[in-house]
Amino acid sequence: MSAQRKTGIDVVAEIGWGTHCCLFHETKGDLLDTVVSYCKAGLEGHEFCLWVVAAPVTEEDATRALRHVVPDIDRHIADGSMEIVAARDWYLQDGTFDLNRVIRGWHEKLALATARGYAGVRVTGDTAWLDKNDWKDFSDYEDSLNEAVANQRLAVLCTYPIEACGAGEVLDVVRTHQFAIAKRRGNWNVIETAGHKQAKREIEERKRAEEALRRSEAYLAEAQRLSHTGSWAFNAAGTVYWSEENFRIWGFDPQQGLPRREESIQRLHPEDRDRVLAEAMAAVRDKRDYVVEFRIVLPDGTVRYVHGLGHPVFDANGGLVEVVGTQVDVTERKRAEQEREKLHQLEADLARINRLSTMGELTASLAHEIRQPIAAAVTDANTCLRWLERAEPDVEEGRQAAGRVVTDVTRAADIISSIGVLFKKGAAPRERIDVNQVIREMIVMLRSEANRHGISMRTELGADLPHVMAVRVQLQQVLMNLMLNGIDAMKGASGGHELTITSAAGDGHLLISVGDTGAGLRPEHADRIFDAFFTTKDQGIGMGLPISRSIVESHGGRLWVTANSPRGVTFQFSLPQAVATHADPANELSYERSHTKR
Amino acid sequence: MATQGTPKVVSIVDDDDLMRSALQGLLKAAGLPARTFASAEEFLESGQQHETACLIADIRMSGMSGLELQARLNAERLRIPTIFITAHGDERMRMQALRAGAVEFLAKPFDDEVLLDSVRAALES
Repeated sequence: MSAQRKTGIDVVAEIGWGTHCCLFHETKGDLLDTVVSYCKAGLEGHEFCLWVVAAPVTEEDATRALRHVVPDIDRHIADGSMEIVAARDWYLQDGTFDLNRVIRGWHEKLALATARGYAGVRVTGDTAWLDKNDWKDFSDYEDSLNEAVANQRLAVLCTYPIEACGAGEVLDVVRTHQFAIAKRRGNWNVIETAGHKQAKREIEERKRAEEALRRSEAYLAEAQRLSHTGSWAFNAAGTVYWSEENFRIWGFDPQQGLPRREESIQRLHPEDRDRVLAEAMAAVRDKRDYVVEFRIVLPDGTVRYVHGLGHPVFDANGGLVEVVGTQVDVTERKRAEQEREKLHQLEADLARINRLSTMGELTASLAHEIRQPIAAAVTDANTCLRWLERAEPDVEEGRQAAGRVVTDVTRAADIISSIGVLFKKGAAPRERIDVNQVIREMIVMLRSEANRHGISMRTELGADLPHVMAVRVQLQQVLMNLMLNGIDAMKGASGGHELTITSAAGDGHLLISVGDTGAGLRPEHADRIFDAFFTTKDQGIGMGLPISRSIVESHGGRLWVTANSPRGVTFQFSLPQAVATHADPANELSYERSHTKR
Repeated sequence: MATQGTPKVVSIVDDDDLMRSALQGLLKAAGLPARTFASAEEFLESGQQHETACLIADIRMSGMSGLELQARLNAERLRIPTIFITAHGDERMRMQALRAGAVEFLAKPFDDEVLLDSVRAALES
């Protein structure tokens, strides 16, 4: 609509569609010169041109004048792009002037021209036919025309013979047109009124504002689409506004208009419906914002998770004006969270199974190892008795059998004390390890296990801790054993449960602790918990702590336990900083010596 | 399938040195001479299987297992009364051994009287 059209008139080079202006002319020559140029420019711009002529100018005069500047004017007239009509046939069809009929006429021409593919309609009408008695009616028409041509592909040039206008008439004409030009014996004047200037500026400003608004709306809609955020407003009467994205989230068709309140309530998940409505009502009553998480069930059964936010707006008297808010479709995020949760659960299960199967294998192999020398000891002891219980005891044979008993039992003891050596076997590679990182990994792994039992996990990790040299899986195993022990200890206990894991740098070593608020340790158990096969748990096998201690000691550290006040225990272990080496060759040798081939 | 003169020797096959010594010592106290072998292979290579009236064998050994040894002897038509002693025998293993002709199946640690009764019974059969 803003496309500028050439006027063909020197003093006003271009006008926009929707322009309604006037020309005062002194002579017939002044009129014809101006209007033929005006029509020529229109024809060149592929516009439909209509010229309403009035005496003394005839249709023939007009055609002849046009031919001077548009040589093939006859062709234009023949194909209907140029129409020349007499004023009496246009303005005064039944001998009377009807404002509405004339305006309708312009619009019909416009519709026709548009249908035939013209760029728009260019009109010029002469008013020499006007009688003083018709002046008032015609002035009203001119006034109405401004509105009628606004925003249309129409441009109108009204021509007035200047000698027919008194000062009052000139004022009327200038007032009712957007601007006026005058041609007096070849000389131009342009008259633009302040009111029209203002109006023009306002129109332009409005256009700019509308354009800016459209752009900002487009950006907002795009942002809503990208962030899955819909916005809405409702008041006492019902829903006032839904953004496009809101329609999408709820699965309603924007073409169908705003959904009724019952329709949207129907789509709330039955389990969430009462809660959401109650929360919104409570927020309005308490004059506060509200946040609510809920689900939507679409007609096809799809469930969407929504994070909603509402803000009631009140007037000065505290009356509710409306409630505005946003709704974010968090379905994707929710799904990802659930997947993650499932994965964590799986990891924890796996870790537990892994731990148990490792324990199971260890136990089976240790049981076998230990059973051998014990069986031998029993047999040797029985044999010893046989020699000594004879009618004539054979002391020498008895002594030999007893000697074998000592060997058997020593072997059994060696096996038990060499459990830790299992962790040296295979010479697992040690690497520089950030203990805090391993702690965090274990927390991630065991979080869902802790959550399941209502246990919170808290860390106090020292900053910039020195690294340790360790076998990563063994360190993981120690932490997991201690943390799972803590969780196990708190499962049954009442009250708030917290597992606290700390790390700190000491003098040349790191100190790591795992504390629980569980049932604690009975004094008579305190010095036995690190013994192999000692357990206080129904399902325990009593190997977690001895193994953990063996691992820590094989790394050159210590593992011990202290009681917490008022309840629970804290396991602490130290590990030397990475700079120190801590292989223990003596331990290695004793293992080699005592380890049997199985 | 006894040939010239019934052999009265007991053979012990166990890869655990303490267990071998203990079994040998027990049989000695009961007045029963016994030879020991650290593996089934060693026993088969010694040729003593033809002189053995009673075999005491561990089931799980490195190399050939006690049950495999029994199957090998059966294949050679050497039906030696066999007593198995194992640290972790289950019922399935026990049934397999007894079906293959074992006379006793003992779990460690075992009752020495039961073992000696079985050995004596085997020697007298």
